[in-house]
Amino acid sequence: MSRGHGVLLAAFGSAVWAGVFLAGPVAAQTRYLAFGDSITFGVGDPEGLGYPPRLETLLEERGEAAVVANFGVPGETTAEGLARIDSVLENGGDVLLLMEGTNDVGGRISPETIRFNLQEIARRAATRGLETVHLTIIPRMPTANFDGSNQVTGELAGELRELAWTRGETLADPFEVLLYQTPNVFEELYVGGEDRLHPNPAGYDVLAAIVADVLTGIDAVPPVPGEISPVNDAQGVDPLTEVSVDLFDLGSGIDLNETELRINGQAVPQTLTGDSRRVTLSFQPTDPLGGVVFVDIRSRDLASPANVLDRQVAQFVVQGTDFLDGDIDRDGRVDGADLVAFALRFGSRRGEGDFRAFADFNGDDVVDGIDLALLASNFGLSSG
Amino acid sequence: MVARRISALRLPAFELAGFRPLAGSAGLALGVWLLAALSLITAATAQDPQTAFSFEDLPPLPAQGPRIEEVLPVRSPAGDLLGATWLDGRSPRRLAVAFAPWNGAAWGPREPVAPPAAGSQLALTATATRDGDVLLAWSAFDGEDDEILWSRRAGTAWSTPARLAADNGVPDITPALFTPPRTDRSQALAAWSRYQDGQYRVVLSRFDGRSWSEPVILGPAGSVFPSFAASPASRGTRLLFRTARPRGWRVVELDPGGRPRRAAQALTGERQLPRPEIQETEAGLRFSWQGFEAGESGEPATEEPATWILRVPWESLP
Repeated sequence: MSRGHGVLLAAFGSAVWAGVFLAGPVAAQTRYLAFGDSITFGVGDPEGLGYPPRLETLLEERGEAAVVANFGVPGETTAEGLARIDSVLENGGDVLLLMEGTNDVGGRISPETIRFNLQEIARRAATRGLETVHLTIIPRMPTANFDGSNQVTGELAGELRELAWTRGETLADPFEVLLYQTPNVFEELYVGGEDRLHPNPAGYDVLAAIVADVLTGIDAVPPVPGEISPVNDAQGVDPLTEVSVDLFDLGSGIDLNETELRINGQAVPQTLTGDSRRVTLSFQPTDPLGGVVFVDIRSRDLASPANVLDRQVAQFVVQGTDFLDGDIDRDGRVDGADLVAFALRFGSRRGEGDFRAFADFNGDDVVDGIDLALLASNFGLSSG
Repeated sequence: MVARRISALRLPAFELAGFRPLAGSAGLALGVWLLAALSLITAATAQDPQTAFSFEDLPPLPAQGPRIEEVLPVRSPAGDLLGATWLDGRSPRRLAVAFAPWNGAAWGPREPVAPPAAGSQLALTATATRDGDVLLAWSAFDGEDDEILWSRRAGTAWSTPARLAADNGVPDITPALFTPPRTDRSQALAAWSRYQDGQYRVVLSRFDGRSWSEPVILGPAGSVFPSFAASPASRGTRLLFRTARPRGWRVVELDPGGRPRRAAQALTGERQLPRPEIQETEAGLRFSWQGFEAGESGEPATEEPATWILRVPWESLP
């Protein structure tokens, strides 16, 4: 099916669903409005359906009478969504499923503004009596033109968790589930190839299941991090700085007795502030930290069975750290990224355009095999 | 000057969770292979298709990585390369704005324009005025909302970054700078999207060499991603931006003084399309999107690859 036909069919589909809404809901039927961009629309699904009809089927299988209308527009940003939301809300409905921001990230719109826009969309839905379910946007493929590392998308996910908590609204977290809990996600659940953003039909099945779980009270997501201080990858951090991590679980809640902040692999004395839906874990070191500091969280929620979080959430480098030879990017470890950066200078001599002193580890004014050997001798090691 | 951004120069593969095993011995082996493969690379290979500029044959930029984004060449109105600007740092919300002058053979030292701010700094844009000054603008989170900041390089000194317009407490995003043809020595234009009355609208401000004028609204509700280009036929400037209501792309033609003269709106139906190619025709403009089959409002595709073409007449502006 061509893109143009897909668009027309989707427009037709939306009109049909809108017609269902306007004709009046079936008794006790929950009316969902799925609002978003191409990932709501269903690009990457040969049937052009995306997650909304799959969600409807899943909800029906779980005994909930529901109609899920697709109001996705490919390519749309949240700034443009604000211009469309009022006309969508005129269709009526009970719940807004809100997943938008992928095109903002690519369009160089900040996570802070995306959050502002989504908050405004949710506010407008609330004034019309609709609840909002916030969906974190799905992770980007490693080959994406921008943010293939998902650093920006991850920060946006943190903003949306905070937003949902602040507004007392529901959160579905495809970013967490797909990136951290789904093996081979990009190989098996994304279109791939030239398309670097969209799920394939199996991916839309999973996306629908993630939302269905939240809507039917199944908690399959562990506590998830929000704001972290110092920020991930921070440099020159004060050795006595306080380390803090916000942790959210808007489902069954965090088991605070089973939650610990770990620094460099060791549990540390921590202060917990907040409650089981949002807690801030803080650690004030009494002895100066040094080198590269790894921040891990071990936690579980109150679901049965419990969902477990156990991973590094950030790392930072303390000021005054002596970096190993070969640690060109000063992230505290000598790894492939340093080797690639080194390669860009290899063969250069002082006075030449390519030469950089930071790649000349032995200071002999040439980036050569001796420097490579020094890098290789530290490969895989960390400072401090 | 340069509206299209160049791809990030960072090396994303090594930032990925899925590639972290590369830090092990297998990574070393692969790295050695990469060393051989990459030793010939001397500079970024990103290209700006709009201006056919390439960093390929130039020395590496004096950036402070590992995250280097939005690298833009800065050229004089005559087309000479004056320098480059970019964002660099370690994490997305801790990026600095930097510049390096080009002396014809090498980059000068990295000149810090703005340190990392309270949050995101992004959407960098640049232009050079006819008197040789360089203007930069970008979107920066000030702790409350995104504002457009700007800085000017007069001689070799950068002015302290300042708001381009008064703080309005709501987001201002995605700026574009431009030096129009046939302007005085230090004049320039800025356009961006401002959240106002519940909607984002493209606004325009003029720089007279000392200060920016109060921004005026030129776009409808849901107008985003402004960019400028010279309008050869009218000897003015075209301001192009995307619109959500109605959905499509709109061009506002500005006279040499930067005042709106006429407009043309291309409607794209249900779809938000990327930035089109624009050609002037006798009666208006030809919008085209290569790689997209025509929607109901477009001409039948007769080209390979398929191209969505819309011919739109000018409409007068009051």
